[in-house]
Amino acid sequence: MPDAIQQVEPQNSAPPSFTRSGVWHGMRLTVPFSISAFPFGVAFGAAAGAVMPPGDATLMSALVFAGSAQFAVLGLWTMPLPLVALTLTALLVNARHVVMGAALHPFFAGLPRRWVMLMAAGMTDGGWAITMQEVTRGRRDLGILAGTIIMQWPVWVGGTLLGALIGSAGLDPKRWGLDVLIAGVFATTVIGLYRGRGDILPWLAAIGGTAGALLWLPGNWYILIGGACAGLAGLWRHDK
Amino acid sequence: MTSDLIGLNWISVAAIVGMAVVTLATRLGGFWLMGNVTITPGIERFLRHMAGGVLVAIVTAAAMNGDEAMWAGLAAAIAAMLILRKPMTAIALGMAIAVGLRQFLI
Repeated sequence: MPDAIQQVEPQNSAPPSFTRSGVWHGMRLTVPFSISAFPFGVAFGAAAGAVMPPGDATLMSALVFAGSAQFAVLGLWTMPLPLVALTLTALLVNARHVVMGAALHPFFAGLPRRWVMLMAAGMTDGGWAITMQEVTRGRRDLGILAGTIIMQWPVWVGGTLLGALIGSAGLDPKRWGLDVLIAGVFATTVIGLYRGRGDILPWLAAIGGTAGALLWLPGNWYILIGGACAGLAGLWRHDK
Repeated sequence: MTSDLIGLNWISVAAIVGMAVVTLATRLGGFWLMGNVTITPGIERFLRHMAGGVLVAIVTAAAMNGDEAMWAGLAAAIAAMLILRKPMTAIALGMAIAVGLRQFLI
């Protein structure tokens, strides 16, 4: 998750490249992220396995490959599936990628566009942070981003499959605290995102908007309204 | 039984593919936009705060719809995260408290 991304312009560094040693370097730097991705994958699989078959959970991890969005839709995963709400939730939770990609873009200007787009398709929060750190130090190697994907995707998908097989064994999700697991993932993520007092007002606005939407509106509007309230509060605070 | 395990009926696959398509769009969007239009600081701030707000909304909804065990577990996880800064430990503690409460008290 980016915080206050400055548009750092590449300067005095080597031209962008895509090398094998970059891939290895990216893979090495990603090891700590892989280690934590596995239990999170198992946790997602177990929580998902309680509401959908393991095949669906594993397909989701393979194709969507975005932990927060995947956890976020679990609460909405009831038949008949609310397709619009599910898609919209994934869009809102992942909107941060737009800012992250925009920050990374200048460092790879000059490489073939389809290489950059192919690697962007697998960009995670961790992969972005590692790549951003390396390119700002002058190592503009797209292979680093590739390495982060190689070290995270199989772990996330494999962890999901294992967790989903456990979770589908007829667990009572509440008895095993899986609802608290999902809420806890988001609560701890939010705390990890805290960057200073500027975040407090937007978060309070999100709480207020969500509470209002839950009380007075049907369906799942609270996600859109909570997100919009925080976005607007963040804008308003800076405009003063 | 087999189909229960594998799943993959058309509506679930449609939901997963829909999520995958919009997620891909967000991942490519920043790279694509930078080649064509500029992302103003205002748009950047809105997107960044909205992302946090969506997560806050999910936690708020879980708390409002939850039982006493959810409140205790969530409060414990938040407190542990504030003190320890270790997400896994904090979540595990919250789960353990909720499971214990549901097992023995509620």
